[in-house]
Amino acid sequence: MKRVVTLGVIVAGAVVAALLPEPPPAAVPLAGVVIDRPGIESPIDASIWYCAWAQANAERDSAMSVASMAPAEAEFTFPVAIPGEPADTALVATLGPGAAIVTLSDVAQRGDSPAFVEFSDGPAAAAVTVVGDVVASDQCVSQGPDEWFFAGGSTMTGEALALRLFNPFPEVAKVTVTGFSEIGVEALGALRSISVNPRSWRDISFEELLRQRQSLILSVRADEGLVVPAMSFRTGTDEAWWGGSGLSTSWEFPVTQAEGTDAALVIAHPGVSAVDVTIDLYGTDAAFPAAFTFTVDSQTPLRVPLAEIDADLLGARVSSTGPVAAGVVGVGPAGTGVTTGAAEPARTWLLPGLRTQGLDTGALWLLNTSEEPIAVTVGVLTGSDILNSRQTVDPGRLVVLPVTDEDALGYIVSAAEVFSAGWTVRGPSGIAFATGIAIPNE
Amino acid sequence: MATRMSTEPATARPTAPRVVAVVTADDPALLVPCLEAIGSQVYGPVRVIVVGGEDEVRRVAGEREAMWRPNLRAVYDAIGADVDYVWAVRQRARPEPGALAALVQDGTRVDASVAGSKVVEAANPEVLVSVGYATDVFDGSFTGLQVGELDQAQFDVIRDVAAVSDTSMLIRRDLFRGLGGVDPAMPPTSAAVDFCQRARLRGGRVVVIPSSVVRYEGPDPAPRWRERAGETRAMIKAYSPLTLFWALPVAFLVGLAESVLGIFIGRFALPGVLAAGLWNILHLPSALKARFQARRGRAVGDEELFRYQVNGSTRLRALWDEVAERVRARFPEGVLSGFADAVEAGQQRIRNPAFFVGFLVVVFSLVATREIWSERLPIVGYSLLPPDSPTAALGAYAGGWNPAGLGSPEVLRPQVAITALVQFFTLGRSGAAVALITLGSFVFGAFGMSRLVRTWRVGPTAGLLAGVVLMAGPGMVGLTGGSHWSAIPAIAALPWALSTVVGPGPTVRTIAATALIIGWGAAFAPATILVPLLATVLWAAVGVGPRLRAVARCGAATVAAAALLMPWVLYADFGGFLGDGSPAFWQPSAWIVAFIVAAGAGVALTADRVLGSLASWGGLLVALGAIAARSGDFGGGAEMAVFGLAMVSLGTAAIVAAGFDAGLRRRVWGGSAAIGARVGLFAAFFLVVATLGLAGPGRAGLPADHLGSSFRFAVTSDGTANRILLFGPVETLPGGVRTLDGLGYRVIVPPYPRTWEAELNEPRLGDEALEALLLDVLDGEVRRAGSALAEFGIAWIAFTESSPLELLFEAQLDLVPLRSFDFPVFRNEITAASARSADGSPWLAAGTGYRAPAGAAGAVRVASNADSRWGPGSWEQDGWATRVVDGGPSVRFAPYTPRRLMAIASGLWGLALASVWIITRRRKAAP
Repeated sequence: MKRVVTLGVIVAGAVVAALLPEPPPAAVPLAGVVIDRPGIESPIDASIWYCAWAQANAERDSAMSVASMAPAEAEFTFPVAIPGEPADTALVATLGPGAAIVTLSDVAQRGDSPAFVEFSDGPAAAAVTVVGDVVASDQCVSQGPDEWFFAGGSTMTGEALALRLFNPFPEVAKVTVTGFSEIGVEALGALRSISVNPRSWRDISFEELLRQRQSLILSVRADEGLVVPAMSFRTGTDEAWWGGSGLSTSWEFPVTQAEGTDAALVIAHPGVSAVDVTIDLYGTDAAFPAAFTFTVDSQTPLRVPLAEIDADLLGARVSSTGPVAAGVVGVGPAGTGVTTGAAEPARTWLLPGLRTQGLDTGALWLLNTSEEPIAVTVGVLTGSDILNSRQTVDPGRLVVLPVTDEDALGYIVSAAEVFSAGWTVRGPSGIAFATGIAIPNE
Repeated sequence: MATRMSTEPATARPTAPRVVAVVTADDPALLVPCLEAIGSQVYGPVRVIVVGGEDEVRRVAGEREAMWRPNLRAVYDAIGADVDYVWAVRQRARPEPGALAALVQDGTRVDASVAGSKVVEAANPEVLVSVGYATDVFDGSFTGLQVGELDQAQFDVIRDVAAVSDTSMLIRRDLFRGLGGVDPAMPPTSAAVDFCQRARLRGGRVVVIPSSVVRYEGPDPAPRWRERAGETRAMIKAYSPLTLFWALPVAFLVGLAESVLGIFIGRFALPGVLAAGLWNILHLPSALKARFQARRGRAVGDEELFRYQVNGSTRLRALWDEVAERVRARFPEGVLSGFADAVEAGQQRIRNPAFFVGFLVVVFSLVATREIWSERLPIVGYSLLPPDSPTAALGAYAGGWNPAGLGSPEVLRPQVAITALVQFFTLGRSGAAVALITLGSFVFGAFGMSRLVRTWRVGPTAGLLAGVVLMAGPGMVGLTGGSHWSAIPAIAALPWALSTVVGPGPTVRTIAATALIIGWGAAFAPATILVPLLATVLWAAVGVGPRLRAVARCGAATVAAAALLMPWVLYADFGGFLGDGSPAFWQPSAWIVAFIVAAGAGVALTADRVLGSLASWGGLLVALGAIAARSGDFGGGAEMAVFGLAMVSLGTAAIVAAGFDAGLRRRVWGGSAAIGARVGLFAAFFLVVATLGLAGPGRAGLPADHLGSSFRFAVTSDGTANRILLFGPVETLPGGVRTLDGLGYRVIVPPYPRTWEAELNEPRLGDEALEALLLDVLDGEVRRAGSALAEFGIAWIAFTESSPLELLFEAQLDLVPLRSFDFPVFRNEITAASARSADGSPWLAAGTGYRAPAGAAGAVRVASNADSRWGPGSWEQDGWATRVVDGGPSVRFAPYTPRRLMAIASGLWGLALASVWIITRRRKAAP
């Protein structure tokens, strides 16, 4: 009897054990968490700006300008392209809002010195203005697309076009450069998966590689690692540099045509089917809505000269039925300027490189593409103060304000409605075009 | 036998058996006296045939009126159908005149198919050479004679033997033809064993006839390796596949053991073992052909062969005898009387079958743990080596700093302390301590099980095999498969604790000894502390004999053992302890469950009261253990699984012991009991076979090494203390882990974590800060993760396997991906150290504290969770970390005095228990 009872207990226990449910499986690691391959983005309140083009030598120097909406420290790092060699650094502080400038030659004087700037707070922005035997200026970049596009370059006789690939990261980057021009897709097999060493950079000249291209569109894609590309275009005695852009269906160019330059808008459509493009132009006293409409074929650059427009100063808006890359290039007696546009207008813009220094005079460009007048607050950022003034921009108009305050280290412009802003720097040795840095709407 | 032999001379009656003598020869000088001796037989053969040799042999045979045939095949034709028996004689034989007559007379009388003569030395007929052989299961022959043993008629009785000497064998003619005679490929002794074995398979009886005396002109030894090869060939020809399945590997192991032991007497058998193996591989086709002939038409099975075999290995036995003889010879008579007794006892023991099984258990343990004692404990999961310094480990346990993760003052598991104590015996070597504990646990666990079941009169062989299942059975497979190395010594302690507590010893001594044993096991795996008590209670419920006293003793011993776990036992959160870790859910294979059920039910339902109770007890342990080990859905964690699987191990071993013992008694039981015993035996056998799965890889069932050599690159040459942040699925990380959206992570000290890092503390300030930082990284908010991680002393980030999270670290400005590794690794460009001075100089690790490098001093920041007991000097909280100012050249955690005192008290308590145990033993011995 005892044995039967025991066996009954054993069987019951075995049945219970067999029927015990399996615990739910452990959660799949990172389930539901989308982790994309990060680009060069950084948080707004601790942003990192990458300035691929900065030079200091016997003939030219660079002003590394920073501006911040909040009190912040900006730490500059200038990598040395020699393995094991420590980077040069510099540290400046800004008010909130405020601006500061580091002169490159004070830190390093070895020719090319790409850098990155880390802000302790933000929003903030950085720009580089090269002065001396040339005038070149544009914003640095703190974010970018997977594939960068450069529109506006050409390799006609007397022109030089160079692509800089700056790798500020500690891993070797592999980059593929492709391009197309008016003669079609370019054969650039030699630029497939090229290496860029960590904390270093690599320049690629196209005037020999792809000769006599009037409109050369280049794109840069990182296969491994990350790079920050920048383009340099030299014609005559002046030089321009600008950062790349992504694709967008609309672009605003507050700086399109300046006195002493013949400007052209260059539009590139890397997609697979044709798109319709409309170009609206804005002068200081007249607007030219739908000044041009085109159908842009795939992989074919469209170069639109603006010389026939009866205006010395122009802003522009490009609208298309599909994403395109766009740039403006101005060449003339005043010098050479190239810049990309802003993908969308904003309420606040930082213009860290805008100032007048010696014979180089700056100008603030404000573009209102809306149908309402906009009251813009223009703030002069000095090292210790902010001086505000108000400027109304009529609907469909461009306003260009020469900058005369020599204490200015940068500007901040803001309004209740969206608009776009840019700047030019004009000097005896050339001219520079730059688009402002939009502060995201809160 | 169809024809009866006659005792009269051949000429007396025409019905007398007719015998033909077949003499194997190759030397005419030896052949002549052999033929003369045959010619002088009082019972003469009808003809004499000489087989083998060349012209000279043929000439000599012709001169003696004997036929000559070149080989055995030709002999078959020459024998003729009128002959009843073949008398196989070797050329060195000198049969006495009545030898054949005795063979015919007595062989006929006992109905023998093969009858052999007593063989004595030709030069000294008083010295015995052979009176038939016993064999072992490996077909090694055993004469049972001492060297030079005199013939004093002590063996003069007709008896069945495994084999007779081929010097003189009388063989039934039909059997001689049917079996194809003696295998010419084999040396004499193994050929005789082989022939007799084949004869027995056909149902023939093999006997030795002592009245038939043959003098032997010797010696004529064959090379040892040839005899060994012949023995293996004989096995291949005769045994069933099942027997061959285990006997051949074991024969090889015996050869290896002989090789090792033989070194002590200047003999190295390994080349012979290998040569014999190679010879058999080369001759395998002929062996298989002969096997086909031998087993075709067999009348009996292997069991009939086993009846005439001795237990163990005759070769090892001979080796032991030789060693003992040499030892005796080296010392004057009487000097070694005590030792001689021991040797004699050893000889007696070695003849015990349990000794051979015990030897196999030791070999099994060596094989099952070979990677651990020859290389290192695999570093995976909770299978971790102890710290290099046993004093530092003891200090950390006794109220010191717990270095797991970012550190804490939480009490370490007692495993750290008990391993450190063992480490003192291995001169501080952590790997040796682990190897000693592991191997020792396997051996002692198996022998402990034998000792336990002996309490219920279960034989030692069954007990030892049950011990193998205890240490390598399904329960242990589940535990070590989950990397719970510390469960090995804990389970090994269980049968010792139980055998002590159910034994008849005095109560005080029993409680003291049992408490020590339980405490030993529980120190390694605290979850097992209640298993002996629970097992005793269950035995009290279903067992036989006086049992309640054992429950009381075990209860007292468990309480006493718990005190040995101080201070851990007083600070542990037992709810969390049993519920933390991976959910318990043991999933044995259906076959294993079926065998456990078959063995348990087969015995419990049919066996006698004792074995039935033993099987029932095992069944209860398995059932309750399985419930605990599968309770993950109800909150059971990793330690609950340890508790449950410890019960499963013990229960399965008990069932196997009952199954084997019942199986060995099946012949004396009848009816359903015999059937149940056979079922139990069969199932228990397969449970033992299943342990080979654990033994095969040689890691005691632990998973393969995962981290042992992965992070050697991270060890700094100057001893700077830093850390690795390790990510991966929870099951791939060592010890306890934290999770980040389901992805496990933890910090470890390179090259791999030690036991004191196994269990992570409850999250403290630093742990929360690290989690917040990682969340920021995950949100893309950080671009200089290296700089931030350097604050935690993290110099490396690694992943056990690829993860999307790598992308976030690849985009950092100060982390360098190292692509040359098999797994993702990032080097922190920012110098990281677990402790550094204000000037940035990294400090060096010293136990759980740090010491300044040469030239560095002043304030030091310790990247461990803030705690005010860091010193010496003044302590400041630096965020989540610790800063020590004016601390001198070293900083450390000042131990908690109460915890240290508790640890010392537990040690003293252990000494007290040991003293009680020893003193009471002496008192018992005094009268």
